[in-house]
Amino acid sequence: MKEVLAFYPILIDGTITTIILTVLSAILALVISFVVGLSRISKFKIVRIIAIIYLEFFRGSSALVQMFFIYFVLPMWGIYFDALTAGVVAIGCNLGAYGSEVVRGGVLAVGKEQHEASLALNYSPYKRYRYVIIPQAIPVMIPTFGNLLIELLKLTSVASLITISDLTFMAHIIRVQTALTLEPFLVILVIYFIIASILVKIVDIIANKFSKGRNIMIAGEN
Amino acid sequence: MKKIILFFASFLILLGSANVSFAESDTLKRLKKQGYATVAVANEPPYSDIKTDGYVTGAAPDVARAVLNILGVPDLKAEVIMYGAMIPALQARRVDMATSGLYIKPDRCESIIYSEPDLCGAEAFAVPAGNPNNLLTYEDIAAQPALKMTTCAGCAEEKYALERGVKADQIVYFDTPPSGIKMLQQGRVDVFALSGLGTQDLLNKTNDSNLELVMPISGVPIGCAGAAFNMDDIEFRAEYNMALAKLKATGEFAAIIEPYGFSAEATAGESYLTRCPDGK
Repeated sequence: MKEVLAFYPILIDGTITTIILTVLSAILALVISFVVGLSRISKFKIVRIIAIIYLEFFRGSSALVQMFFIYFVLPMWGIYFDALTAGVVAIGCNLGAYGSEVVRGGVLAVGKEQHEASLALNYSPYKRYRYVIIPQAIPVMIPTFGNLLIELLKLTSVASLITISDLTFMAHIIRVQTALTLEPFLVILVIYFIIASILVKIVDIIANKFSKGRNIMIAGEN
Repeated sequence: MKKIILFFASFLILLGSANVSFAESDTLKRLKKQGYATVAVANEPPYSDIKTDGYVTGAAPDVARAVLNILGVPDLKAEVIMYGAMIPALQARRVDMATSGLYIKPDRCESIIYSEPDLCGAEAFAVPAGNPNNLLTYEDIAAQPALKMTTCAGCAEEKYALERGVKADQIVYFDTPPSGIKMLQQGRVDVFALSGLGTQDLLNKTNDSNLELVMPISGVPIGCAGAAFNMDDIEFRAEYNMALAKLKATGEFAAIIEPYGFSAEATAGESYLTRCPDGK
């Protein structure tokens, strides 16, 4: 164990890289979730079709392959992302596809009468979604988003394939340098668990904030 | 008249080629200007060694550092990446060169170009103590189809095995060498095959008295690794080779690689010209 802990400088580097990768891809994934999710219920057919193509492509192919493609294949066509950006784009686009279904589900879960009421008040589509539908949909989305966030954290562990030195990659380095297997993986297991626990806590806080003063079950049932 | 034209033509060609070989390549100019070269290094002791603070050393990066110094590039920025990502990284120009136990093999010469060999060594097996199946060559593995061997996907050892009659379903691939040793310890495989020094280093670190080293393996050529470059860097490769030859001549080369267990003499008489088809 001592041998493994001697590698603490690279373990700390790896942890920071994993956290940065998680946070940046989570932000991208969230934006994509809303854009694609809302496009799915657009009244324009072409927008809906593009959203479906996006969803099926990114959900239906492996994140690892997408990452490899963005990092190693696109440069041959002159599109050049550095490693971290490539990782963020691949993970963000992939999880964004899953997230879009959460957004769509959340919006559709808001009662029909809410849509009708806001229409009756002559709200524009923007106002309708901004002030009536989405505020009620968000509390429904949060638990699933929390799940996806943990999923995203774990997905970052494949980023080492595109030369991002994340936590898992550091464990591999330590493993090869010391020929120990249990210890380096035990260490990163604990680190991943701590990061995941912190993420769960943050999601809880956000969930409380959004559901404060709102009884969404009643709104949904009426 | 024809002869005179021929003479002048050959003179002009000579002059032209002389110009090419003396002018610095664009790649070298760029590296000199930025003051460092980005080098892909795989995690393969003793070809590469990563210190606890992340500093990259080991035989291959140390040789590259010395050669680049001769060329006037003061620093080497090592990027530790997965073994399998080294060739794609070169092709996509993610790195300027790659070094660390990438054997010079004909099929790899199709995708990348190599410097002259810098690290050569024999092959080895790791087997349970006492070598119960009496495995000394790849043919011995082929003769016992019930046995399983482990090596890495795309490694030279995989090819040696297949060429010598080992069935594809006898081979179990490991992701990193320690996984292979673990499989051997747990009895999932009967033999572990890798470069001699890599296997030796790993067995020393594992320090398990139930395992034994078989080295050298007869019937397979010694493996030679070199620095690898993008296909378009032929001029830079030539400059690198010249500097490498200088380094080998001074004896400094031996001083760098011998502490890691490599032999400088093993590289004498080896060349990528004979190891790559068409001498690419």
